[in-house]
Amino acid sequence: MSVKLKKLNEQVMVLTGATSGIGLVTARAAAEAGVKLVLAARDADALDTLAHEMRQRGVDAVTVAADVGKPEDVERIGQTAIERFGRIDTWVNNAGIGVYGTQEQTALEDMQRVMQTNFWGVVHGCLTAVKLMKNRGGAIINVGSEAGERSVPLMGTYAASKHAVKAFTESLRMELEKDKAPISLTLVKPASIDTPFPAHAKNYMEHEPDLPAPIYAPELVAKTILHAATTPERDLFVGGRAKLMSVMGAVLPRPLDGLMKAMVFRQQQQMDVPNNPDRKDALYAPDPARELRQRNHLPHKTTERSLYQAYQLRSTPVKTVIVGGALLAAWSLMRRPTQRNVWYA
Amino acid sequence: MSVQLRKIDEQVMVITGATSGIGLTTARMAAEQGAKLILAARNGEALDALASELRRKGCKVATVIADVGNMADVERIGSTAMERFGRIDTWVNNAGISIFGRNEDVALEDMQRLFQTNYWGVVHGSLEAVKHMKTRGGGAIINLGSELSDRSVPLQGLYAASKHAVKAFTDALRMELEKEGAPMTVTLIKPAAIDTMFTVHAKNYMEKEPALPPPIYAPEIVAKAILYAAQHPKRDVFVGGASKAISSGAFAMPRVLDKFMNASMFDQQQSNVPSSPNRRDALHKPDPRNELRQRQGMDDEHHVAESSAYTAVALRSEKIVPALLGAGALFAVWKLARRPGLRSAF
Repeated sequence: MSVKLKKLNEQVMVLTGATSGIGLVTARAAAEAGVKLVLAARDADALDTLAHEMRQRGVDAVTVAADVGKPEDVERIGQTAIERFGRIDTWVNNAGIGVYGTQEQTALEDMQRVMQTNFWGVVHGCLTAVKLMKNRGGAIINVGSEAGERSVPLMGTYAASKHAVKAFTESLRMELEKDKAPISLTLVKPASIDTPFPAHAKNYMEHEPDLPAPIYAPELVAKTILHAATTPERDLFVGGRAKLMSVMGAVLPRPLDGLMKAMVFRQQQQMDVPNNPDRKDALYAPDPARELRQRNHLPHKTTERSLYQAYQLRSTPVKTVIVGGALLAAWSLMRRPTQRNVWYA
Repeated sequence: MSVQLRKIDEQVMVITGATSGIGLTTARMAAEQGAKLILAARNGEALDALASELRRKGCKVATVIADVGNMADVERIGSTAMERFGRIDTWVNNAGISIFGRNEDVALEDMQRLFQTNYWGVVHGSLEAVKHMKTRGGGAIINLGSELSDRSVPLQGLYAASKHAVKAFTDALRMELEKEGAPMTVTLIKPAAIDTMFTVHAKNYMEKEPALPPPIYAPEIVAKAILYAAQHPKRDVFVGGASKAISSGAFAMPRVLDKFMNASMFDQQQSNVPSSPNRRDALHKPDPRNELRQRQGMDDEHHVAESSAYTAVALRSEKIVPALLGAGALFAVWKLARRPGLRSAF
């Protein structure tokens, strides 16, 4: 892709789901880098608090209370951005939610609400973004998931929504490239990230939801998003585990079924924390008590860095040098006489 | 999977989208083999005509006028089957529809209708099937995905999204049912381009009539795969080697496939025939003029493959693949052992 993208400090960026988790970390990191921000979320109070924090730091930020599942709300995000800043350089479709439980347990309306936010929210966001950005150009960044590559038990509808996001993104990207539109469209695919995701999710399981390890820091995703805002990329995994799931899903689907049945049912529940019958979630309405948190602080170690990601964000020449170096090292090892014997033995 | 499934002639089988294309071909083939059928589709007249055709041949048939996008309708399919035959052995979620056009051009309400049929139709059908089958002897759920479950294309973005979602839902449901030891199999069928009424029924936003990218396969190959999965536990089946090739290409070299598709798919998905302004489609309601046809019929330029060696092997892979691997390994050992240089190394 030969699309030219601006430096962060010259950008106007739209961010959905900006008051929690990945969206919140990205908003703060973008603000730090000098981006002008259009922040969208359902909870107006949380948005006000965040905007106030941003303005105190001298950041130019505007907020839009919006449900991305409603096309008219998403159009309002676009209009506000144009009225306030005259253009949009990057549009990040980040808002998302989950439901934990078997397909049989989950109410149909809960499934529909997940699809409305996660899939239709991205469709609405992309179509509005393309309409407003196609002439001037820029970056659209959709937050998919490793579950968009390979489905998981107990989160079937979430996985379906992220699979659909991947297909829609792929198709829209090819169509924009065919038109030679100056837009780069990136799919970001995070592994488990330590955000309030499990706490916001609706839960049908006996225990409080959990994320399967390894769990990565939300800052890794924010960094990836900001990278894609300045460098055209097709798709980016966050966390080596996401890449591994994708590869195994494609190459060894049946063994992965077995592995998931053996592990994921337990890993997705905090086995020592029973589900609270009065538990609140953020599926239909935001949960004000849990807004403006970057992390959930699960009782696990969080991986703050990802080697795979560090490799992935390098430019092609650097990647070539890294891979070339590794191959060269392997070759010279094989040529060492002592090693050679070992090889045959 | 060690689930025991009945022979077709002992089965009660639900088929949605039974009055056209793959559904129709499967219904006739299953009837031929002695299955009792519950046929569902939106068009009552087409269902009646099909039912009387099959009854003349001695097949036991019940029909249900149903829109799979409507959960109440799908519940009616399940209750009709139970009232009439007392059980369901196989439930085939086949009904599907498409839209041809750029994502930017397609109306949101059309996108939603497509998703309602292709994705929610499968969700409704699968949940209703589990409800009736899980505790009554089990059986097979067969969901129609597509080669576009594994890789998206331009001009059919929402269709691909719906089929991606079907795959994820099906995979999760399968793992959940296996985890609890339910006596059920859940199979995803992923056909390549098939000569059915698909392009005629699809809504069209392009200047020309929609077309299928070659190679194009016969609907009978899909019907055979469905009936195989109704009797033998299978996780997923690609119908047509092209489907497997697209899936592998998408995994191994997505960027190359982007370029390839951008060079080929815009032309290949359009015919030379201009789209009529009065064109009818079957997105929001059935089109009675184009019902009860298994195939659209292709012109001379589009050959229809009547068999797929890939799928034939894949359906018997339990025996053939290990046998081939075993024979290959033995051959390799024999060749290696004969090489003098390596012999000493051994």
